[in-house]
Amino acid sequence: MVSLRRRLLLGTAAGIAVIFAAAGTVLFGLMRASLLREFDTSLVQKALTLSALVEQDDNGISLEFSEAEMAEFRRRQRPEYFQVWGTDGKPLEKSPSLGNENLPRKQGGAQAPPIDSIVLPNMDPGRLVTMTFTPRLDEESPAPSERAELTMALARDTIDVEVSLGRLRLLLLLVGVSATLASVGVLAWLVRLGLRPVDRLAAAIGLVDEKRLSASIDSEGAPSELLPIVVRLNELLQRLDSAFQREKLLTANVSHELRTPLAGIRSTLEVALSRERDWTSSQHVMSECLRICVNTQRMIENLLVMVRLESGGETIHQEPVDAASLLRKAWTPFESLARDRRLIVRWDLASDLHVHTDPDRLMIVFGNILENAVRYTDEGGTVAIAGDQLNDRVRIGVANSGNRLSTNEVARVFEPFWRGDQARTATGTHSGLGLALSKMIITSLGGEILAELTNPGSFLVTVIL
Amino acid sequence: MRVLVVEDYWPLRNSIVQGLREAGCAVDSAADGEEGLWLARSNDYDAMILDIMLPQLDGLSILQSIRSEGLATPVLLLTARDTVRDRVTGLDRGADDYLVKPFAFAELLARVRALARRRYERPDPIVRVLDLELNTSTHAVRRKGVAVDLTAREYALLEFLAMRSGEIVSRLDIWEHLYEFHSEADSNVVDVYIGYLRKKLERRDLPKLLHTHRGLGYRLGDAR
Repeated sequence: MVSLRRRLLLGTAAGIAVIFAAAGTVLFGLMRASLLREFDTSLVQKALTLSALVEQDDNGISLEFSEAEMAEFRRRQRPEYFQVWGTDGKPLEKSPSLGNENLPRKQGGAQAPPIDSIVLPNMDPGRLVTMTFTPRLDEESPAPSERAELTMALARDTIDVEVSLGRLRLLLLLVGVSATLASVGVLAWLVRLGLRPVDRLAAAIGLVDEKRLSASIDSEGAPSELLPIVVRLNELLQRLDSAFQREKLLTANVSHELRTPLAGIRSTLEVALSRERDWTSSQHVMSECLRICVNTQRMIENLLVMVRLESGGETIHQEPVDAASLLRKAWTPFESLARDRRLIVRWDLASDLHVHTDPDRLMIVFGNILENAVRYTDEGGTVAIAGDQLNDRVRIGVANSGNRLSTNEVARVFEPFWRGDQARTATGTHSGLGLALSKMIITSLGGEILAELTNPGSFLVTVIL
Repeated sequence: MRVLVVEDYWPLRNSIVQGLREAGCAVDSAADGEEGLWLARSNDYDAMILDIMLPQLDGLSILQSIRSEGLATPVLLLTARDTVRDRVTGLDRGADDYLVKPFAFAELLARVRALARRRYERPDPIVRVLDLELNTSTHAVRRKGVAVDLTAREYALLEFLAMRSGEIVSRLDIWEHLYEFHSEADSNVVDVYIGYLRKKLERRDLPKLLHTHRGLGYRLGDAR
C-alpha cells in the first residue's frame, strides 16, 4: 500500500542527501584547489629561489647550494627533490635525496612553469614544477661566450595537503549525514503534525455508519487542502442518506401495500371457514380471493419493473416508433370501459408523430395514463387525447374531466404508492404505482412527463419525448 | 352488540362485516372517513373498528372528532402501519386498542368483545346476574350451575340484557343492537324471543329473572 507519509519522508530524505552530497563535493573541490594553489605557489617560489643560486662563468655552470641551507634535499624522512639539466639536456646536478634516481624531465616554462602531480621516488604522492631559466653571470669572471639555457625540476610531497583534505572529507561527510538525519527527523515530526487532520478525518469517517449517515463530517478546523474532500464527502453522505431514506420509505410502503391485501385474503378465508357454507358462497369467497391475488400480483410486477429500471440493469431497445398508432393500440383495452361509462373521447393527433424510442416501455406509459383517464373521469365525462410535434420532439397529452385533486395533490401524483381519494376508494384495483412507474420509464427514455390542472376539474398528463 | 366498521378496502370490509354479523353483532359499515364519522355520530355503538388510512377523512381524525365531542365508544384501530410510533399515536388520540393487518379474525372478535365488556364495565368475560352465569367467550349459559341450552339469537338477546342488568332495555334498543333481530322487518320479533328465553331460564323453584315493564321494555335482574 502506498503511504503518503513514507513517500514524502523518503523522497525528502533522498533529496536532502543529494543536495548535501553535491554541496560537499563542490566545497571539497574548492578547498582542494585552494590548498593545491597555495602549495604550488610555494613550490614555484622555492624553484625561483633555487634558480637564482645557479651561476654561469667561463668555466661553466655552478650551483651555490650550501649543504647547511639545503637539509631538506638530503634528509631521509619526506625529502624534497631537485634536478638541473643543461641546454643539451644532460643532467648537471641533482639533490642527494635522488640517489641514483632521476626526476622526469618535462617541458619547462619560464613565466608560468608547468606543475604536475607525480609519484616521488620514495613512492609518496607529490607535485613537480619544471622551469627553464638562464643562470646569472659571475661578476668577477669574464663573461662566457654563450649564455646557458637550463631546466630545473623541483618536487615535494603533498602529504600535508592530502591529510588536510582527508580531514575535510571526513568532516563534510559527518556534517552531511548528521544534517540529513536531523532534517529527516524534523520533517517526520512536521509531516505527522501536518497529517493529523487526515487522521482526524479518517476517525470521523470511521464513525459513519448507515444509521448515522445524516450526521455530516465536521469541516471546521480542516486545512484548505482537505476542505474540498470533506465537502464532497458530506455531499456524498447526504445523497446516500436520502437514497437510504427513500429505500426505507419504499420498503415501509411496500410492506403496507402487501399487508392490506393479505389481511383481505386472510380475513375473507377465516370468516368463510368459520362455519359450513354452501357451494355458491364458497365460490364467491374464492373468486374474491382470486381477484385480490391478481391485483396484488400486478402491483408486485409493477414494483419489479420499477426496481429494474432504478438499478439500470435493463437495456433500452430504441427504434423508430409511430406514437399515434401506439396510442391507439394502448387505448384498445379501455374502449369498452369508456363506452360503459359513456365517456366522450376526443382524438386530436398530428399526422406525423414519429419518435425514436422503446415502444414496449412507451406502451406501458400510455396504458397507465389512459387507464387513469378512463377510471377517474365521472360517468359521461370527457377524455381528450392529443399529440403534436414540438420542435424535434413529440408531445402527447391526455386530459380527463371530473378531477378532484387539489394543486398540492397533483404535485404528488408521481410519488410511488401515493393515491388520491378517488383512487383510494378503489384500493385493490389500483396500486398507486402507475404514474410513478410511468415517470421512471419516461426518464429512462430521456423524456419528460408532467401533470397539471388545466382548468378546475381537468387533469392533464403530458409526455414529451 | 352493535359495531361500526370503517374500512376502505372492500374485501376486508366485507369479511369483517360478515364475520361480526355471524358472531351475533349488528354491524354498520362505511368505506370512507366522512360516512364513518356521520354514522359514529348518528348511532350508539358498542364498539368501532377504524382503519387509519381512509379517503376523505382518516381514522385518527374521526377518532379525534368523536372524542372531542365526548363520545366514549370503545375504538379499535386497524392498520397496516405497525411501528411503535404509529401505535402510540393511535392510542394517544383516544383509541382503546390497536390491531395490525393482517390479523387473525378470532383475535379481532375477541378484542371487540373485550372492548364491549369494558364499555359496560365488565372486565370479566363471565357475566353474572344473580344465579345466572354467562361465559361471553364460549357463549355457555348456566343457571344455578345447571347448563341452559340457547340458540344464537337467544344467547345474543340474553347477553345484551345481561350486560345492562338492572336497567330497563327498550325493545327498539334490542332491535337496533342485535343483527339477528335487526335483520327482521318487525321489532315484534324481540317479544317472541323474550318468551323463548323465559321458557328456558325461569324455573318455579328459583326467583324470576326477566321482568317486563309495560310500555318501557325489559329488565334482567331481581324483582324490585
